[in-house]
Amino acid sequence: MLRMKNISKIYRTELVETHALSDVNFTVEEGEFIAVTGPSGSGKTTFLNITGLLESFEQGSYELDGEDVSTLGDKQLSRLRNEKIGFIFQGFNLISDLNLYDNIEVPLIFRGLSAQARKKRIEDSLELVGLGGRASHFPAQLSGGQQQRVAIARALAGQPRFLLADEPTGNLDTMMARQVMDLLEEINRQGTTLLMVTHDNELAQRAHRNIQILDGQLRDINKNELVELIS
Amino acid sequence: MKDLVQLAWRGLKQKRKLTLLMVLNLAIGITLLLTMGTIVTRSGHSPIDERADRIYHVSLNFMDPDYENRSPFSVPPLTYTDAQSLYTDWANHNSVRLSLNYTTSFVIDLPDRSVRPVTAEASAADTGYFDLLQVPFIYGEPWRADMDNTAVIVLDKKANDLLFGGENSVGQQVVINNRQLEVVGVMDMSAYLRRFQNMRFRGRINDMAVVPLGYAHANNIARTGYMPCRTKDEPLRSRYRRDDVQGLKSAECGYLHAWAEFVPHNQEQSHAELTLWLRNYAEQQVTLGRFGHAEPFYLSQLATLNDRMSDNLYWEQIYLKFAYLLFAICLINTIGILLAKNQSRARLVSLYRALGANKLYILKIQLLELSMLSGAAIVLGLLLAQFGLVAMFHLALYQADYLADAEQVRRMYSMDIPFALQAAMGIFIAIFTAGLYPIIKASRTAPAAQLRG
Repeated sequence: MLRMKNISKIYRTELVETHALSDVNFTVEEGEFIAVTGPSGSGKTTFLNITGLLESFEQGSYELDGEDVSTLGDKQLSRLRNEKIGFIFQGFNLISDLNLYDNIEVPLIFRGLSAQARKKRIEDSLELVGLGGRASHFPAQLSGGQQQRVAIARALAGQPRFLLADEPTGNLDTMMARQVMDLLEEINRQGTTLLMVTHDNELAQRAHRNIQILDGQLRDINKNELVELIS
Repeated sequence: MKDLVQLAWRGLKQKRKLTLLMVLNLAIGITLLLTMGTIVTRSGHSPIDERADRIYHVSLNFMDPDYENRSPFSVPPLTYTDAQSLYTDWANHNSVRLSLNYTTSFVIDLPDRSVRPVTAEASAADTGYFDLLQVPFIYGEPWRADMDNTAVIVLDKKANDLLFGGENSVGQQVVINNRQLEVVGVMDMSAYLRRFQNMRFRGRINDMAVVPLGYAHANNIARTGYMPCRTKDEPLRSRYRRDDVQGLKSAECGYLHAWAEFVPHNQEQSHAELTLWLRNYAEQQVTLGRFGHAEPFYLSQLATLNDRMSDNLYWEQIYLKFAYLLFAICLINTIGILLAKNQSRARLVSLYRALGANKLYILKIQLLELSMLSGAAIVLGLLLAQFGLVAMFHLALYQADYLADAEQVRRMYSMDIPFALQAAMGIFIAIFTAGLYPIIKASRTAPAAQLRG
């Protein structure tokens, strides 16, 4: 469902050029759970942003669900993001002035769904993350773990085929991190493809497939290598 | 659209204090602009603006050579002799309508003295006065041209309200100087904020009654307006005002205001013809030894006089310039606040982008948000401008003398709805244009950088 060929990304300033990604080749099949690990500054987030169509790339080609994204304009890219990709951020990125219902409703409004259809999806997704009945609460009234679950509910409400999680447990304690990971695994089991960026190799172990980014280069690693990295 | 409005409304609610600051900031600028703009606009215009470019005040300068004409509003009115000559040659002209009037005032009473008498500022005029002003009639109509010497009167609504309780008084009798006159019509002068017909352009009072010019002369109804006399007749001026109308007819004292209205299709030619006539007449009077002033005649266009009137509002014009300046400052300030607000909302815009909003959609949300903000500021500005006008009215009334008619002054300081709507539209466009830069900048926010961490 996702195919990247020879993708390169360079950040340029007046003084220096930084090669964030170099000649990346990457394929994801439907229903996979992939963890991307790597040290800080290795290009993990850049990789995730390009995958999520939030950043452009200099070279290479990228196909998402058969569509060559390098040929698409802003409107089509936004539609793809809205319909096929769900984002989960480390900092949750919930809108503090809005209650949970309104927070989850935002991407559904962008999709142009009717109020009735939106209501059903919001209620279903809140139920799925175990926060049914708390639709009128505001983010500040929830714990970090619960906020991340709302963010997951927001991502799921759009019924995306592809979930991108950027350090989803980075701001959570161990207990909450485990709960969130359990939830993500469950979502993956139900068929949603999951690509998770993490610096936590223990969490990465829970993925079906592991990718390591080093100096802008991607490589598949097996579980044994990962265990070695942990130890 | 409903969703867009919902998102724009949510945007307004975010950083509420900044939104409120922007609305207040704009409303203050709008208030001052509308208040001063309304005063200046209302001061310089009359209901006959659309004809003001073809209506001219006619003046023949019989005054001494050293007479100093200080402003376009102090040109000498016509003497009886000159008015007669003008009237004889031009009253029946095809392309020019001529009207003569003089300013007077009298006490109007009822024959049975059943109500309190009314002291009325008034005009003695020919029936062309009503055609010139196109003043609306509530009851009755003007007197006919052949009734110039008849004891008839047209009351203004204000006088009719005081004397007849607003009832139709046509056919009723009123008493002026112990003589009875029949009411033939009731007019409504309320839209005429300035009394231009006697060249004073005063906004504090207007005619409450009009009597026929021939009747006024025959019955020596006093002349109370501007009445300059040549030096030789100066000592007799008081007599000419009140007592000696026969003496006045041959005196070198000006008291009659002549207005000429040119028909539209022949305006330029009529203007040229009248100018030529005035020049020839003045030269003739010079040879007769009457005229000796360097400026022998004046033909003043009403539209120009209106403009000069607006220019003469010295302080109001200064305040208006300050109001424009302040509005510009408020606008720049608003852009600054909008930029600050958008900077703090860059994360939200980025989130919207990540969740699937395209740049155009973000632009639409923000434009709608700006429209709602501008709308709120304009509505608040209009409300505050209403208070501002009330305050200015009280100030003007405080500065006016006891003769001022409060209602007349109030009209000068009333909201001019067409002007307010035009100004509101202009202000909206100004805010919208100024707000485009911050909005376009915000819609171009790179989402990835804002969503980390």
